[in-house]
Amino acid sequence: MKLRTRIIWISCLSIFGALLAGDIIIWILAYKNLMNEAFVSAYRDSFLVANDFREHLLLAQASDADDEVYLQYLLKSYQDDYNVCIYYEDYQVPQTAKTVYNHTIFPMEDFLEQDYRIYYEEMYYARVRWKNTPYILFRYSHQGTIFLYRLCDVSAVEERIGLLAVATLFLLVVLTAAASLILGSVLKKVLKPLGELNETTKRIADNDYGQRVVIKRMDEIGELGESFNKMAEAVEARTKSLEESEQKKTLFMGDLTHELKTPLTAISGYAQTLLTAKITKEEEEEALLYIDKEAKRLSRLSKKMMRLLELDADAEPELTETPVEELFEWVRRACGAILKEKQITLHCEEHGELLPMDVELMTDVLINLVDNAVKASKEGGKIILRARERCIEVRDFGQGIPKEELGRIMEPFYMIDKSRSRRTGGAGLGLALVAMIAKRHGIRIEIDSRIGEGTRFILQFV
Amino acid sequence: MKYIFNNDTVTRNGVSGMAKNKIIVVEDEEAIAKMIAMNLRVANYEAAVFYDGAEAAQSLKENHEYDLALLDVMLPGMDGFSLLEVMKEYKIPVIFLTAKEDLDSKIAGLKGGAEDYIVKPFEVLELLVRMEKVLERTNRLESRLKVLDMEINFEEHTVRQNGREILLKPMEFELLCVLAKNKNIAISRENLLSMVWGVDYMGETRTVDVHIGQLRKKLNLGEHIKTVSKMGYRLEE
Repeated sequence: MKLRTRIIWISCLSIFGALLAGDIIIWILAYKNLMNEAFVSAYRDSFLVANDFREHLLLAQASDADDEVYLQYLLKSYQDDYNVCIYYEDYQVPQTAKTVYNHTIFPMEDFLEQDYRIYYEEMYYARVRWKNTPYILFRYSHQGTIFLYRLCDVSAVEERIGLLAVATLFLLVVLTAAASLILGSVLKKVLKPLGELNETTKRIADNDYGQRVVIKRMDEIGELGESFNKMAEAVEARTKSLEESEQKKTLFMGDLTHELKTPLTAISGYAQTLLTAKITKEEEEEALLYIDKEAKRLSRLSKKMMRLLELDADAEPELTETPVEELFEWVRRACGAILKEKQITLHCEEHGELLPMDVELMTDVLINLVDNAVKASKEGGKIILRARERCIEVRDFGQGIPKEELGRIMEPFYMIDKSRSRRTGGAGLGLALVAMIAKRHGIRIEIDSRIGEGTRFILQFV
Repeated sequence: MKYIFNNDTVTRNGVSGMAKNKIIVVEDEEAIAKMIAMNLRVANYEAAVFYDGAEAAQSLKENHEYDLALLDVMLPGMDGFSLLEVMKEYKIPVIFLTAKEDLDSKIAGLKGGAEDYIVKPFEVLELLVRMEKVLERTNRLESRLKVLDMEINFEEHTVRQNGREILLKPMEFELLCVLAKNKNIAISRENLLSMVWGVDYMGETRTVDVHIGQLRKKLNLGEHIKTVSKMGYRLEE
């Protein structure tokens, strides 16, 4: 069942119930009140009749009139429909009772059987319901032998209560209906944003992350809408970043596959040639040399990949304050061979700086940067490794990096001059490694490069 | 490399006296380019190798007497797709050789007018067969092929040895064609089976052995059809 219908049902039932309970209390009170009034008025009338009856009887006794005849005469003169007069020889013996006069439709026995309660001196009363009509029965006993019964119809009370009940019930129904209508329209207004929220949620669930709800209200639902929008924003941002990283991964995998395929093609091609083709001794040797070279390239690539993966999985590096002198010494030692090959001199300049780093990783960074610098430099060139304040700078005077390439050189497998890089043994992972290690250290990398003049890589420590 | 290659061409031209199909190879990976050139030479093609797209395009201005181009897609200087347009100007059919395996690149290559698209890493034999098919399609294949003392006429389906016609059964002739076209290259029994009898042929490799035996006998090729251990058969000159 819909929330709105349910709320309306529950509310209407409770309103109806509460009003009904109130009505019932009113009915009971009103009934008691009316009944009291009716009783009092019936008593007053009965008392007047009884009083008159008594006075007449007293007078009659004095004049010694015939009792029975006189009584009949007397009662007829009251012109009252509801009088019964019973005459006893002896009250103690009910068999001696004799109806002198009965102007009701009920037999004498009915009157005698009732359980009378005393009301005032000689006046007794009883409540009876005969033929579905409520009566109050008054009994006046005159000197214990003559009984005057007076039957007072109080059905008017029940009629009035009935009318009251009908009216209040009608009112009750009208009120409940009105309440349900008002409640319904209010709920519709209150719940409308929920419907919108629901629609938006569905759309977001269908991958339309840009959806937002428009709920301009100052209440809880307005707050809900606001929170919902905030959540949607967070979800969208998160999804986007996931998608981006997924895309990056796909790109990376694509590049990696390409990088793997190239040496593989050469290796498998040469192997097949060696196996199937009739070739000269020199060609055989050439094929074997290429297989060896390409296999080495694959192994270099896999090593760098492993390093990247390790870095990716590793916990935060432990940074210790290390003298730059020590770092430079490691780099100088590691790069000795490649520097010598191209007759390049490496100038190191530091002033006893201490920088927070993981020496091993930072050596990796500098080796990669120096390696790049060597590749960019001409033979007999110069590379400067300099530390100042919280920076380390690697500078070469080589060919420089074109401006439009600067943004992409840190990407894995990105090479400015593909064929040249490959010939010099690059896989395009060096700078990606540098970028990753730098990120782990919180180091910002600035690149300043001019075509034909050289390149400066500046590592800005935090 | 170039020297050996030319030298060989000269000697072999001397033997066969037939014009060779000229292939232009544009591939920036030196190792792959040389490997392709090596196999092309063995398979009796003449190959010109370029490592740079722009350089290749430039050289075409002077000499565009090529029967087929093998192009890498990602090339320095000028990429393969642009180079394809240049090749089209000279009506040189193109086969792409690339590591790009995605459908988009394939469609771009083939829709652009390339004859075929081969994904790296590839089987050398597959490359040669596909090249041959392209040459056949573009009518650039010689209808006659001279190998050793035989002259094979593909159109007439005849073989002459020293001017005398030798009668071969159809499958024997087809087998001889495959071996001759790929001379100096060993072809496995399985490959021979699918190349001669078709991929769907369910026969045994024994069939190949039987036919090879017939060829050796009828054409007196016992010396020249070599059984290369574990690899298959090779027709040697």
